[in-house]
Parts: sequence; structure tokens; C-alpha cells
Amino acid sequence: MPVERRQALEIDWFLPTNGDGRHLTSSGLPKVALFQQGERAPTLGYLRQVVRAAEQAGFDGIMVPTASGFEDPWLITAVLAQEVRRLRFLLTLRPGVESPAYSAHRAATLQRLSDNRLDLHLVSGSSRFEQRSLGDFLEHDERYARTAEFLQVFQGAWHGQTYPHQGRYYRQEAGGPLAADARVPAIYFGGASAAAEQVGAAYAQTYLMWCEPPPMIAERIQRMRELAAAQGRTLRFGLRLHIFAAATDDEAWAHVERLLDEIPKDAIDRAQRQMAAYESVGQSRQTSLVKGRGRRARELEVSPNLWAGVGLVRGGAGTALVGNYEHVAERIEHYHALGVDCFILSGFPHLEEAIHLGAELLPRLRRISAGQG
Amino acid sequence: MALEFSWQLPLCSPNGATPPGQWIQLAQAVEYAGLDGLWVLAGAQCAESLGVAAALCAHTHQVQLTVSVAPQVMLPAALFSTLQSLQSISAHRVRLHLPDAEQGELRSLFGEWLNRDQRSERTGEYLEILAQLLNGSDGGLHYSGRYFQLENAGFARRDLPAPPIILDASQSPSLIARHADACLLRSAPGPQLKAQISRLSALQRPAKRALRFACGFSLIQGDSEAQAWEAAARQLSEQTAARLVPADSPPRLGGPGNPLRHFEIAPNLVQLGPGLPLYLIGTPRQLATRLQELHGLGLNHVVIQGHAAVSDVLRFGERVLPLLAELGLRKEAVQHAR
Repeated sequence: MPVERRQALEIDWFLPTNGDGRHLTSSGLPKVALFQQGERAPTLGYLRQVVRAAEQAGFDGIMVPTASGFEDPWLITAVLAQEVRRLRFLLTLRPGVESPAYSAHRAATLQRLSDNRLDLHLVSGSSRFEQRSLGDFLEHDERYARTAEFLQVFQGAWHGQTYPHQGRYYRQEAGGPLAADARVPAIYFGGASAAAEQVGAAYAQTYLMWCEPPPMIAERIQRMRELAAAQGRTLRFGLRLHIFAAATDDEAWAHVERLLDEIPKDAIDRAQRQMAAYESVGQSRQTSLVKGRGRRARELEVSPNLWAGVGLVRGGAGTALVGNYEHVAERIEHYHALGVDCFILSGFPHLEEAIHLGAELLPRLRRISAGQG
Repeated sequence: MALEFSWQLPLCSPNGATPPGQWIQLAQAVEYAGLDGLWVLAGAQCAESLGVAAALCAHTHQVQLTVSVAPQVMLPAALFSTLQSLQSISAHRVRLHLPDAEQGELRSLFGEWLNRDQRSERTGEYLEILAQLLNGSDGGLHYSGRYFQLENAGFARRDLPAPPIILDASQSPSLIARHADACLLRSAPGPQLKAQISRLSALQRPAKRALRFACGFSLIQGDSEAQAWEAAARQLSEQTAARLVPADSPPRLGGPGNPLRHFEIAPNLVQLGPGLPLYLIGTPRQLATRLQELHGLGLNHVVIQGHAAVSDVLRFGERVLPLLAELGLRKEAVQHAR
């Protein structure tokens, strides 16, 4: 039996299940009705290459996202977990659309199929438009209360419970354990509002944030540590961000300058209008980073090597580290020193960049990790 | 019209822990042996059906994937987008079986707390939404029912074929008439199957093709009749002993010797009690004859259930399917799928 040996630094990749491409607007997270499908459709033939590249490159895991129009994360994980042997799958799930006992049942099946490589990333909400299109009409703070109850029932179903659950959002019969022989998935959780922070402090193992300048992240880590400590808990912290790294700083910045030039004229305004409709504190924190700034690449550098340009046209993670490999690794090391142990990275396109960063960036990050024993 | 065969998966066990390698291997054998489909069961003791169906997309290329999903477990718009994704991943091989919430373990299993009428009403709304989303309309679907609300549902719909919907025969006739493409009949001997088929065929179905009918059977075959019954007796010894009481003796065809023949309710057909699984027992020739008779009753699709080993699958494909092809009951000459 292999001994579980979690590295101090967890570096994960991202699976583009709604298509992929070279441009800021051709892959990744919510872009509803803004842009056409990515240049590369999310076929199994493509996604299995991304997963294999991530494993070969030495990433620890891969985040599988969810949103309307994306391939279903449960299904994609069931197929792709068989493609690789070591890579973990961080599956994104929305508590509002399925019963927690069923989610536990699905997770148990995937643990068997993947040999215990499944972890879960809970997303409580997105835009009101998308929530309602799925039949979820709860308002923001209630969604987090429901996530808390979801996690209680999920754990109960997994381990077995001797009495029925009668809650505000779910009822569940008593029953034996679902999967006594499978590892319980670790819970990764995102959400920047006060309601989200309370639930994260109480239930998450890893609290995820979209990347912000170091002082902003440090402040959130401190607050979350206090909230968790008040419940007698400790938290790990994770950052989700993009990477544009090259041999020299100039090359990296010239690359993102080109990406900005390619964006269609009205796309930024349309995207900003759409993101303003999100009921998301995390989203407004990302959006606020670009407010009042110019539209040239370096004008969007919000702290050394941290670039907010992605957020001009994309919801979700809107920041990227831009620079040469050493500088990008140093910035990551800096966040690590602030208390961040998990980094979930993207690069465009995700296939070539998994290979590229696996060769150039990951060895540098592993040195950091090893340096701390 | 041809008689179609699906093999039921996955293998379920009380602790749900059948190794995936086993059901993957069985699925590969089913495709290789030239059967038409896999029927992926839902249940707490089985691996979760959508996950199993998706996993099998990596190992099969031709077989139809009928996936059973209880409508209690997720919102209809979520099931819709999951089905679109499964259609995409499987290259359009999906069929959806929505089991009747009144049946078996499902009612209590996944946190259901409505009364019977409410459950039926909820199922009606669920099917209505699902059908509208799957069959696509321009723009998003707005829906305001007693159990479900939607705004702009399906706005990210992709142009993929709607999977056929299979409902249990125990479901309300109006729901079957309106939404089912096929019906899963309750296990019963021939005359009762025929009665179910006549009743359901008489339903008015505006703008829908004729209903198709499926029913589950276990098959136990042997080179000789005696061997088949010995194999069946071994397989069913515990259930048989538990049910064999002297009072239980309406006219049966069974002869002395094999106690199982006490339960032979029609030639080669065993049922240990009402509503329990049906077993077809005999030589390949006998099985082919009985299957031909079932087809004659109006059955389109046999779901092969129960004890399943790779050897059973291959023996069925190599010995029974060719006989059915000779009888004109298969679409084309059966040969090992490449």
C-alpha cells in the first residue's frame, strides 16, 4: 500500500470542459452568450490529452469545472479518471441541483473508479440568470445556508446515520454507510461574502480564492483563520489563477499585450456588464481590480507580476501571473509564505501549456516545496 | 421488427463494492458478443448509474446505454444538461429509464417526503420539463409549476438528439402516453405480458410513434435440458428452498426430481413468486423458441438480468443469437463486433 504523502505545495491544473483555445475569449469559465464555442471543442479526444499532459507534467490534480454548456463534471471525471493513474480530480459541484445523498453516492462510485482520487469543490452560486435556468431560486445568503446543510447530509450519508435528517432544505432517511471502504473526498470551497466565509470556516478543508494582490489575500487568510479557530478548526488555503510565463519578462508581457489586442472591440464592455450582474463578492473584488485602469498590458499589473487583464473579458478567476519562470515561481512562493498551500493554474491552451509549464515552472515550484521539507 | 437485447449492469452487492474492473469487463463482453445494449441500473447497492454509463463510454463504442436515473435525485434541468453531456460523450448512445418512484427502495432512499398523489404530480412536471428541454425549443424555457420553477432553462442547449425515454408500466397511463418511447413491463408470464402490452398499446398517443416494450428476464442455459436445470437449481437453491412449502402447489408443469421445476409456470419459464424475476431455462434452441414467442406477444426488447458472468454473455452471443438470426429476429447476421 502506498503511503499517503501530500506535498506541502499542491499544484493543480484546470480542465477546459467548454472548449479551449489560445485567446482570452476562447476557453475557460462563464462567458455565456458572449463568445462562440472555443476553437477546440471539449471532445473526449481533446480532454483526455489535457488530463494526460497534466499527469505527465507532474501536476497533483486537475480542477473539473461546472457551468451551463460545460460537459458534466461527474461524467467527464468518470471517463478521464481511467485515463491516468496518479492525477487527482477536483470536481466542482453545485449543491442546489441534486440531493446530497445522491452526490455522496456518485462520489463513492467515482472513488472506486479512480482508486480514491476524487475531491470536491463546492460552488454555492453563480449568476442569478444561471441559477434560475437550473431551477434554483434561492437568494445569495440562503444558498450558503443550504451548502452548509448539504455538507452535513453528505457526510451523514457517506458515514451512515442512525437517525433521519430533517432540515430546512433536505430530508434524509437514516441509513448505513455508503462507502465504508472509500476515502471521503476532501472539501474545497469558494466564496468571499460574509455568509460564505462562515460556511467555509465551518466545513471546508481548503478555502479557495481567486488570486488578488498579496496584501488582500493576506487579510482574507487572517480573517478566515480567526473564523475557523472560533470553531476549533484549521483551514488550508488555495488560489485559482492563470499563468503566462516565458523565458523572459519581455516575452511574457508581449504575449499578454497581444492577447489584449485580439479582444473584439465591444467584448470588454459586454463582459463587464454581464459580470456586474453576478451576485458574487468574489467577482466584484476581481472586477474592482481593473476599475479605472488603462487597457494596455502593464497598466493592468495590479501588483508585481499580477495581471488583472483576464478579468476584463472573463468572469471567475480574472488574474494571472505574468513574467519569466523565476519571477512567476517567486510570486507563488510569496503566496505560499502567506499561507497558501494549493494553486490551481490555467494557461491557454491548456494542453500545450500543461506541457510547457510542466517543463519550466513546476520544477522550480517543487524546489520551493522541497526546501520547506 | 427485430428483438433487441440489453444486458443489465452493473453487478450490485449489499455493500455496493463490486470492483469497476468487473463491470467494465462484462460490458466489453456484451459488445463483443453482439448484443444491442447495456442497461445500467439505479440503486443504492449498485454503483451510481450515470457514473457507470460514462465510465463505460471509454470501453464501448456501439452498444446502446440505457441509464436508469430516479427523478428524485436531481432537478430536471440538471438531468437535462447531464443527458446532453452523456449523449455527447457516448456519441448518441443514450436512453433514459426513469423508474417509478412508487417502486421498491427508491421512495425512501434519496430523501423523498411527498405523499403518493404529490409524487405522481411531481413526476408529471418533471417529465414535462425534461421532454420540453430535450426536444428543444428556441430560447429558454420558462416554467412555473407546483414543484419546479425555471427561467430560461436550456439556454445553453446543444443540438443533440433527445434520448428515448423509458417508463415503467406501473407509471400512470397518461404519463406513459404523453412521454414514453418505450415501457418496461412488470415481470410476468406470457398471458399477463400480453395483457399489459394490449392495455398500453391502446393508449392514445398524439404525435408519438408506437410504444415499444421491454421486459427483464434471467437466462440460464445448458447444452442439454438437464444441464440447464441443474445449473438453475444450483444458482437458485437458496431462494427455492425458502419458497418451497407444501401448500404452495397450484398446477405446475414441473416434474419430479428438480425442485425448481415446481415453479415452472410455462415451458422453460420459472418464477418463484408473483412480481419476482422471470427465469428462462433450457437449451439454446429452447431459449430461442421462447424468445421468439415473447417477440410474438409484442415484446421488442429483452433486458437480461441477474447472475452475469462473461461466460454467460459469450455463450448467449455465440449460441442463442445465431438461432434468433435464423428465425429472422435480428437486424443482421450476428457476428463478433470489432
